[in-house]
Amino acid sequence: MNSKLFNYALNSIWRKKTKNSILFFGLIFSLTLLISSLFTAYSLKNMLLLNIEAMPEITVQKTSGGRLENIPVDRVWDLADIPGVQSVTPRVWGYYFFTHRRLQNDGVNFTLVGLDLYKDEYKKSLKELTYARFNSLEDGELLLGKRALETIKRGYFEDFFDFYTPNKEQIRVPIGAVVDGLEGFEDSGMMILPQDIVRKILGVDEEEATDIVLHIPNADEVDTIKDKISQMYPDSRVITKEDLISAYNALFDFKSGLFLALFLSSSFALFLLIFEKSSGLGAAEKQEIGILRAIGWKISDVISVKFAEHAVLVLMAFAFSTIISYIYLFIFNAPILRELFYSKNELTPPFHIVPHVSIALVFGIGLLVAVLYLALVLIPIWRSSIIDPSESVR
Amino acid sequence: MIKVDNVTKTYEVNKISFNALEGVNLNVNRGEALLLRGHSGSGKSTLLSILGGLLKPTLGKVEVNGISLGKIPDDHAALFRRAHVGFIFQKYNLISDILVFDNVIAPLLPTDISFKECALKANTAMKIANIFHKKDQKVLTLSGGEQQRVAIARALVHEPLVLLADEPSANLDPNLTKDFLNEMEKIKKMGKTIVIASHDEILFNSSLFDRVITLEKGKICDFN
Amino acid sequence: MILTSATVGYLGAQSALYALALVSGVKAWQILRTWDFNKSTKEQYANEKNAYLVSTVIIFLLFFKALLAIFLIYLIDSLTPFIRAAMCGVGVLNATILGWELIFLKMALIALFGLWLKSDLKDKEALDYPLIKFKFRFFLIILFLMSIELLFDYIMIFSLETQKVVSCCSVTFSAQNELAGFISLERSFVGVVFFITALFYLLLGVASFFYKKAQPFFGVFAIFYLIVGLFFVVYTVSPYVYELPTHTCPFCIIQKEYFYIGYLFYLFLFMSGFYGIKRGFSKLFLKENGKKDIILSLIFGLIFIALSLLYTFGYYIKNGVWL
Repeated sequence: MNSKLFNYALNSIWRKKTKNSILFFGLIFSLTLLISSLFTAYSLKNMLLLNIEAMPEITVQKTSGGRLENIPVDRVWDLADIPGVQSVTPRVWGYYFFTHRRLQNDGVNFTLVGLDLYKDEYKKSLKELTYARFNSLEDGELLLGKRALETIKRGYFEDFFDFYTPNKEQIRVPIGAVVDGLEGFEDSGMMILPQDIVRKILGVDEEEATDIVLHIPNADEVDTIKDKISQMYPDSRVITKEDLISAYNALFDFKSGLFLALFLSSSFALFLLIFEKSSGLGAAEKQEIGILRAIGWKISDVISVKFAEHAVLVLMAFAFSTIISYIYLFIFNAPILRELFYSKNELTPPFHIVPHVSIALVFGIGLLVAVLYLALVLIPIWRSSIIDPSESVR
Repeated sequence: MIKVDNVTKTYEVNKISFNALEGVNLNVNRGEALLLRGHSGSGKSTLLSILGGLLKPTLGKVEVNGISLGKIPDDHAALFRRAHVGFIFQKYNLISDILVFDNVIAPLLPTDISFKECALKANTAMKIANIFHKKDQKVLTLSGGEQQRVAIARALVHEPLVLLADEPSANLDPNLTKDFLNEMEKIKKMGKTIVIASHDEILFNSSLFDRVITLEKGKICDFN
Repeated sequence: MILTSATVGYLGAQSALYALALVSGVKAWQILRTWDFNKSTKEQYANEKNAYLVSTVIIFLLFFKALLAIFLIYLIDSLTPFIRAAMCGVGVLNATILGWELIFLKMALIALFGLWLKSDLKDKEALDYPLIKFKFRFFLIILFLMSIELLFDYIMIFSLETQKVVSCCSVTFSAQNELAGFISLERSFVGVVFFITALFYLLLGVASFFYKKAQPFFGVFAIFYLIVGLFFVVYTVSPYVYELPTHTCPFCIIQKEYFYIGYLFYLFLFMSGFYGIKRGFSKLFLKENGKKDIILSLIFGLIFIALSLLYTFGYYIKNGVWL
């Protein structure tokens, strides 16, 4: 392939505008769908992973018969004695199901987080919140996000909210403040209360906690400490930050992979269409190839030109699709697709996805798309190039 | 220059084989102008195609400019066409939606020659064929006679020693045919060997040709 | 099985390439059965056209398989977070079944494609396709290996287990290990063995330059030289790249931290060996004489050695001691 033949190929693409436009826009459509999904998943994954960074290194829960139970608080002392553990914090939190017929699915799950007013929280944002709203919390008031407030308003609650304990006791809690800017979108379903009130609502005794979190400054020691805890308390479930990261990675990549597998199989129809379109040569094109062969072009010259035409088309379509996908993600925040990869309940706020795409990702997708498409059109190209010159010049 | 030795070309149609050419022997010297005469179906186009490396003989030997054109691979035949032979097809076979210049330069595109040099050759060829003034026009917009001149230019661009033309006057009126013959005189003076296949009587009476050969049913029946 | 978009995409691409090769294989088989260049039948003309398809497919395969091989390296590296205790691609490969075998098979296939293309070029120069039968038998062997490669691809990806605890590179490639139980893999020993091998390779190369009959031996010895070269990169050179005596890893040198220098090492070594094999192959099977490949092989070899010396001697000069 020399530059003259390449120019001929470019010229040829332009000449057959109509046929090539259909192909081009078809490719852009399906590639945009593919690339924006992968970009969205990848960005979401990275955002969540960043969120996980803020989590404790180890979370210890108690299980009984495979189910989670409240953990005795006095385990804290033994855990604090383990070398390498900087701090141990028992947490009181849980899910509270608020039901009302005016809500989607008849109800939502709030995450109740109990703050210990006299001890530092493990998470920086919660620590700051405790300081900022100390008075409110001390008075037994509820802190919640804007979305949560809107949700309870649908249930006709305005200045207070009624919780019901497992003993069907009603606890009326005045609403203290609406806190915006709680880090991350997970917090939107959060309701923050003083720890003793949460204990009452969730039925967690004084000697118990929902779980215990450990802060371990040296990441290399986490696995060893995890083993020690498991040995100390065989009934405990020990989750490390690494486990969470692996799980999230797996979940997102699984979803991406699944999506891709589905996409490929459903695109099969599109590919067949491409195959058909490439195979069926118009009379004019057949004649052109025959003429070129008759005037001295080798079969390999014709193949090079046709191949270059398709390569340029698919690479340009890929470039355009990538740009469109990036705009879709960066400017429009990936509507619809983000639901596919990350959906919670109606409390999920419209968060802003941080685009996080790497060159390797783009290159990888490009390579795979190019391979698949060009492999598909190779045989039709060959078939059109072997036209007998003598027949077409009669 | 051209040696045809006992060439037979057999076609098989619906399991019936017939000979388009049978036992043809021919010699053409360098610089000679030869007319292949005969009605349609006489085999003259087939012979011309074989001389141009577009068809392969079933039996016999063909040699053009020292190159044996028997059963050779497609690529070698293409390289032969690219270097040694200029072919003017009956229907001209130009690519209609590109410019005159692009049509003329087309045979040179796969070669290693630089674009600049290719352009020079193309311009020279167009000047010889007297179509240079239309180089930036699309072939679609040209008349029959003009299209033929483009075909001539394309056949000359790679400076072949042999020029072949198949029924060149089929789409031309007598005046244009005369113009065509004048062009051929010019080219013959350049030292090229010319072989033209035609059943047009005007050509038969032309002074261009050194020899006329008549073909009938695939066999040579008259050497003139 | 770890289902990610990269693994699905990779398997999809490999499968598509295999499908192409399979179609070509069918045509190659037909050609082998019915080829007779002297005939002017429709079937023979079809054979000649099909021969073109096979050539085109192999050029296509060579280009994209080489790219996909590099993509596979990236893929393996990207799976590191999924495998417990895996710190680089070595750990991931250890967690698979047939992962290592697959890598070597891929390298061999790329070399074989190169040799096939050489045969094809030579064949097309002549007027009567003298090497046609040899070429297509060769292609069918390649197709067989590609079938194994695809099988290994699927097995490797599907066998990936996240919970398997794997050895990292320092254990897998520990200099304490012994090759076949008795050959030492100690750094300087491997270095010396390589230099003797390289010297011998150079001498054979020079001999092949003047005595054509030496060329097949040059080609065969190139394979041995390549293998020794790989050990050399892992056991002798890589510790100097990492500046850590216990870090012997074939994978980490191609990472960003080391400026991707590993790619250069592998590239030059591979090119050096490949040209040697090509010369031997051309002489033995294509009956073709030539000297260009010998020169190229030796030049690439010298560049490879120079790079190795840059890191090894460079370290000594910088620090005054060996590792």
